[in-house]
Amino acid sequence: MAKLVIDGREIEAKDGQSVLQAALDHGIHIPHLCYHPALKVVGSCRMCLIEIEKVPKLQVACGTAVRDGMVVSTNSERVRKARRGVLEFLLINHPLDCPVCDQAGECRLQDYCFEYGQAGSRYQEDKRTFPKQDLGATLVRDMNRCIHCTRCIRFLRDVAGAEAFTLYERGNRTQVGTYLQAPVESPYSLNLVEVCPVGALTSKHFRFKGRSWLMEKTRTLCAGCSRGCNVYAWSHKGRVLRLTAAENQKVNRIWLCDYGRLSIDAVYADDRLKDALRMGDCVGLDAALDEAAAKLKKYKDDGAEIGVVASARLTNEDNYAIRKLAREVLGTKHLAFAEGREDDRPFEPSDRPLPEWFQREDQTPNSWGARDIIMSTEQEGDVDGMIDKARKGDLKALLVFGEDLTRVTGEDKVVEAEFLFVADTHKTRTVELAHIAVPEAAFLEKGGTYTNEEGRVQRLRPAVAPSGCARSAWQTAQELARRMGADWQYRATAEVTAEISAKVPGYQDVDYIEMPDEGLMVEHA
Amino acid sequence: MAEKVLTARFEKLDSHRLESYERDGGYKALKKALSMKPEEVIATVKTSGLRGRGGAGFPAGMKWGFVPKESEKPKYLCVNADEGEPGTFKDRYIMVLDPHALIEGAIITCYAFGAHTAYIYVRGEFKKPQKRLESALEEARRAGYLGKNILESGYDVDIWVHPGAGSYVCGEETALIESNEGKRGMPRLKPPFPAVVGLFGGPTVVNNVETLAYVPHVINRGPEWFASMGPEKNGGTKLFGVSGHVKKPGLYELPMGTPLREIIYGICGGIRGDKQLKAVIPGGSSTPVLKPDQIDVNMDFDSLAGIGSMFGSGGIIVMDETTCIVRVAARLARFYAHESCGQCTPCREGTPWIAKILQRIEEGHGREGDIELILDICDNIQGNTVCPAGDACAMPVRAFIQQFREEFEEHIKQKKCPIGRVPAPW
Repeated sequence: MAKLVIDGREIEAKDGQSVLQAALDHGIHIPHLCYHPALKVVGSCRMCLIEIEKVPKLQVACGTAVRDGMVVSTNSERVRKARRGVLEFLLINHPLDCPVCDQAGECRLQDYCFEYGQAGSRYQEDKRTFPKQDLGATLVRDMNRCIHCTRCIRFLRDVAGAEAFTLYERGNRTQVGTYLQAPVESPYSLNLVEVCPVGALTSKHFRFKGRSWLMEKTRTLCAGCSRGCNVYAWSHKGRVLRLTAAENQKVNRIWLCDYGRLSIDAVYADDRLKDALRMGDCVGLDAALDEAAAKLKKYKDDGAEIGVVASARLTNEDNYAIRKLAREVLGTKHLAFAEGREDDRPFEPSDRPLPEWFQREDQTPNSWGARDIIMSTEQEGDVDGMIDKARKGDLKALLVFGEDLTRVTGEDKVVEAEFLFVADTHKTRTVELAHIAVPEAAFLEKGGTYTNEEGRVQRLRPAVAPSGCARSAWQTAQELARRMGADWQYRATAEVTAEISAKVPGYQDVDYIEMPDEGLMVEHA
Repeated sequence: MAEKVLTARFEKLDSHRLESYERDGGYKALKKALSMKPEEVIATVKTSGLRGRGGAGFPAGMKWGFVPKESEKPKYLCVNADEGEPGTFKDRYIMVLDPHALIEGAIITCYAFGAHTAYIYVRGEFKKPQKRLESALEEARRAGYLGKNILESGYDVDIWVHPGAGSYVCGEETALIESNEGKRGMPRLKPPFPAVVGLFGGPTVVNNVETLAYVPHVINRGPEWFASMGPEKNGGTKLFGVSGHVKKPGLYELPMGTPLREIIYGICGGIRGDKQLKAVIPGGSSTPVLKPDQIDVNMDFDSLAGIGSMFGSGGIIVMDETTCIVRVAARLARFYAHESCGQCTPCREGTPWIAKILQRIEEGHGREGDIELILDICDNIQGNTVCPAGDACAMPVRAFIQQFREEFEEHIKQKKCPIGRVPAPW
């Protein structure tokens, strides 16, 4: 523990910290560009220069270790002049692109110039320019905007394990990019958009789609795999435009994979199911649900067997309501879900390169929650078995929630049943075969909880309203239950969660409203 | 005439060969050093006050003393033979005409602080010095001065030549180390210093060629002899390379402390064509320029620091009245801008800015306020960079302006060179 004084304030720093880290820990913002908490220190941008008593030259805060008794000034006239100087230097070749640059509004250079820089430029010579380089499918490089902080190089080399970027040429002709103009091929390439402090590296997917200050930010989860990365969904006028990483040191640290980031596209794909269908034709949702409920009631009264398929893609609340529908309203034990793939790599975030641990084999967000909920009640059979039974006629009705059965059977004609009811987000093959199909809300459109591979329950928040008349599966289950005479009164997701914590073993501490950002570990099978 | 130490053998036939070196008493110092304890060798060099001849003038013995005795990683000696400082041309002659002097000095140095491997980082353009060194190293190995158990002492040491690839900044010790590791030659943040974390992470000493070439002499003839050859704390001789507008430019070995006037007008015969002296750069292009009324200064580290300049590497550039100082400043700024590694903001962006403004002034397009702007840019660069290369541009440019301000102002006012020089075709 070292005690040092920064701008007259005494703070305690951890051993081995730099002055910058200690300052940031205590809410003292020393401006910095090349420093990044997850990357090696290079000390090259010179933005974090500070004055240390008894030291003649200004020192970089990121590269100076704390020493007991150090007296630091981050605001002296000398420091302020040096900062103005560094900012002026950065701007002499930086193009005045703010009006057309995606980074505007969340750009460190903009913010620092506003706060520490000077209003006019004294540079009256020609700016040096670089040719544009196409970096492949995900990234746009605008080398003129680059401030040579080398964060991108360090990220690709040390975190993503892909030594794709290098520096070539020298001096102010230095370029950052791929050797021989090759595309960047890393499944983590879009993290560079967040790592780059300016608009030198931007996302092809998000290019020109929105201004950061016009978008709304919702903290929710990615549904791409069983890691359950924390994300911010940025939306404008009811449409999610991009996902950025939300920090959760226990789950995804501050990273996302490209596959997860781009999973927005599926939510807005053309084959999204927006209306209820009856034998393939659009009908009103109420009419569809009325007919489905009537049919199911008749099967039940006649003593026919009914099968219910839940899903690892749905939330715990969805699966719980489906279970309750199956067990208490339909009175059936034929209840199952299709599992995700196994993964024998360790789950915990580590300093190993991302490709070694990050994306999980299980590409569903809630296998483990589904297991906890479905397997903790009396059930028999599995999805394969139920499909066979339905084909043979042993199951007269099959309800499929949030699952495309081709994932299980792999066959083109997946299923036959006397009555097939499907609720899903897209017009899958299973939806095409359904007698009644109702639209399901996508992960960006719903609230609820997922349990990740580690056993961590985390909360989804809806970023936008659902497309068309789509709704969460728990709401669909409730609609069916009520029409069959059951008095279900869930008014909000939180109420379903409350019942889960009362009824599902291991989930007793789960509280939808009070869920910590870090999530909550549960004991599970 | 003062005694010649380093250049004594330069004019002998085949001076670079081992048999010539041994005939003149070569490798006796190594034998003597191996019979001493390593700490004693360091102490001897410390007492001699030998200061680095690469430009910084840091006491060599003190530098060796910073290396920890015990180390998990191997220790290294890196010989700085990059000779990149414009105006400097001394190390090339040692390597071509007396390579064994360097080799013997390097071996003794390795022994002193516990390194078993040394790399001679020779600038890429020096093909002949590289070849001469490799031949000499082979001779030394065959004679048992290098390799395992040298001279039955039980000590292992070997030396390799590592060519550079065309970068001035690789003369900076940490950039040299990076390049030696096969990486891009960009300086590292200090601390940690190379003596603690250097080549491949191990404790490393980086010394200039000329510095090491003195080591055998210090061992043979004693530290007091060396110290006595120059003023206090500035002992020994120095290889001065005088270029420019003198009648007899060349490499001269002289005692430290020789007055600059004597070098220019005595030894070098005065200005060519008997013209007037206008300016002198005392020790390589990074040192602040001197005017004719300052040349009575003694050429040693402390005296030059005392008048606001630097001793540097001993590359003396003499300029007469036909010189356009603005052109000189522009040419040098352009050099530093070209050589900047690009790592840190002030040097990367500031040096080309200065070069562009100076070029404009030289070409007659200077503007009111340009001079103050250049001085402010120099202020914003100096002291704020990762390595001294930024200072190496800012200090001399500032000195040119401070010493010859009217000349810059006249270029701006008259929109041309007041002494009629045509601007260089950049």
